[in-house]
Amino acid sequence: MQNSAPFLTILLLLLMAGFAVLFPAALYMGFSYDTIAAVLLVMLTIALAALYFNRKNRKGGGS
Amino acid sequence: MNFTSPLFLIGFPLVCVIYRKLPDTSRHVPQSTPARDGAAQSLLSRQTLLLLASWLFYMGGSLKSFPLLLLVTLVTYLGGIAIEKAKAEQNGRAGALLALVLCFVFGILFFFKYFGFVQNTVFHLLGTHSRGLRLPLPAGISFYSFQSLSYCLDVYRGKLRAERSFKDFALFVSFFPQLVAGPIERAEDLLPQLGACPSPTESDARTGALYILRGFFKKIVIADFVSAYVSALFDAGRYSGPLTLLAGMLFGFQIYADFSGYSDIALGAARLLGIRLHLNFDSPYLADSIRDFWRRWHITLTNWFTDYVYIPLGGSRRGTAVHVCNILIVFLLSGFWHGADWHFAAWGLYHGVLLSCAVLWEKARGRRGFSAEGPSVPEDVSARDVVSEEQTTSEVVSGLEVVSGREVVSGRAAVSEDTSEVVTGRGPSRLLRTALTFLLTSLGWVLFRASSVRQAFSMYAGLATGWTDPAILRAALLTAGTPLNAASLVRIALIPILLYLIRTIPEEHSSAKKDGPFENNIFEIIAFLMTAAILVSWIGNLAGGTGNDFIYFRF
Repeated sequence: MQNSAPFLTILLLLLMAGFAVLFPAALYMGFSYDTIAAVLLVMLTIALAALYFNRKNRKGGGS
Repeated sequence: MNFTSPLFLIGFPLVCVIYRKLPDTSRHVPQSTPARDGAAQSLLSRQTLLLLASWLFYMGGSLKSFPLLLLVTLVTYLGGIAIEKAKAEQNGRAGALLALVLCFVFGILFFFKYFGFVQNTVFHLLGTHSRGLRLPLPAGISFYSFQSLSYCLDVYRGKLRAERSFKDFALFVSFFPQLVAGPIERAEDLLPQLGACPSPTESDARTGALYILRGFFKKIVIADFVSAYVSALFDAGRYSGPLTLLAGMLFGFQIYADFSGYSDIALGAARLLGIRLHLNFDSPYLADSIRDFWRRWHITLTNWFTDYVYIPLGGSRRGTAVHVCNILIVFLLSGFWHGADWHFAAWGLYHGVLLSCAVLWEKARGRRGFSAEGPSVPEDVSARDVVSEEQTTSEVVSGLEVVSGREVVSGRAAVSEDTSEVVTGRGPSRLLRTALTFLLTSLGWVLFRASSVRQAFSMYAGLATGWTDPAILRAALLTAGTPLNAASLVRIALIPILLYLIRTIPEEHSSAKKDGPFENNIFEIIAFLMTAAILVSWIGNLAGGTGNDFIYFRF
């Protein structure tokens, strides 16, 4: 784990554990697949946007 | 090959494991070394394994069509050898042999795909009520017949030596990742790779896995989700302007996510075996002109029509009238290639007319070709890679020729997915052109998806109505039972954003490790969230009884 950001590693572990627990729980509570998928897609969009803007800033700031 | 079938989901990992265990014969080692001897003595080579797996997967999906695949393989294999022999002997029979092979393969394609359609058209013209012969379409026939014919044509043109190994040739025709819905590969690119069957590197494995993940994400999370809304809109019966436009746009996203999703899985599956296929899509909805759209949409088919129809017809070299005529012919054929129905032909002609208008507009403005706005040929793409020998340089940039995404093989010129974005520039005018192109292609999709030309025209007729009253649109969606809640609206709104953001994921991953810890870890989070979204959507589709086969299986 030398080449890793600790915050993101913890976030990934939290996400995995959260999904394993919350997905069945959300279904049990009556949330639709659509709602759960929409929440996941919003999170995915944020992660993709973070990568996109990070790349963009890196390219913009580079020599 | 249906990538969502249990046979593939269980069989493919097994094939990958056995493939890696078998000796690698791709490296140049002296004949006497133990590795080479071991490979030679091995009963099961990698080629044999892939061929058996390809045939097994194909039979698992459509057993009755298998003899036809075998027949086309045999005829084009023997045809290639006979054409080469006739050319070497200079007995003047090569042309006749090529014509024979062409007639045979096109004859089979015509019989299974177009015979019933022609019969129906004749009956309709005669005013009789008889119905034409309805034969089940053999899986992948349009794809493998075009691929095997390009091989014979290349042998005839002297661009390629005829393949002597039946095993390698049969594998070229029936290589399972791309057999049923492309990409349509060229023998000069695929045959050497299949002959070598190299071991996949770690980078191949990671990139291949990400391609597969992206493909399933596009198919299950986007295409299958949006298909219910598309069906509701097209089956509405009453059509308004917002409904027609939304139907065209949503179907545009559905077919892109569906077909490019399939291509991604094909690319990824091949990459896991160390084989590189061509990109079939290059972010087509970022195109800023119809010409640009066709450089980015179904690239391998556009290349096929360019090399074997458009250029032999004279391309753009015989005056404006012939140029326009050639464009119309190619697009009409492309329309019919997609399906034996008039609405497919009308869709092809629609694009042909748009492209012809662009040609005439450019000529009227006195600009030489399209070099000013079209993407230039990347420096590292050799002339052979892009264009056939007889084609002039101006045609490379002015014709139907595709540059971006053509080269993935052997790393000769790895053109990334957003190359043309870089070349064609940015700014408000480009944004406007992109929006206009998207609007035009969306309207074209109405012709493609409609059940008939009549339905498409009734949808177009309603374009000017209903802009102030969305009642028809709401009624169409609600009566079909599609959910119209906040979650589904969020999902629909996120489709274009997600498609934009994931377009470079597999390619960029290879550089993520060296780019730093943030990039490396964010990729893991993205991969996890994509997997979770696939899982949730897949279970949701199963529970709701939705989910469809890949659209291009019908072609």
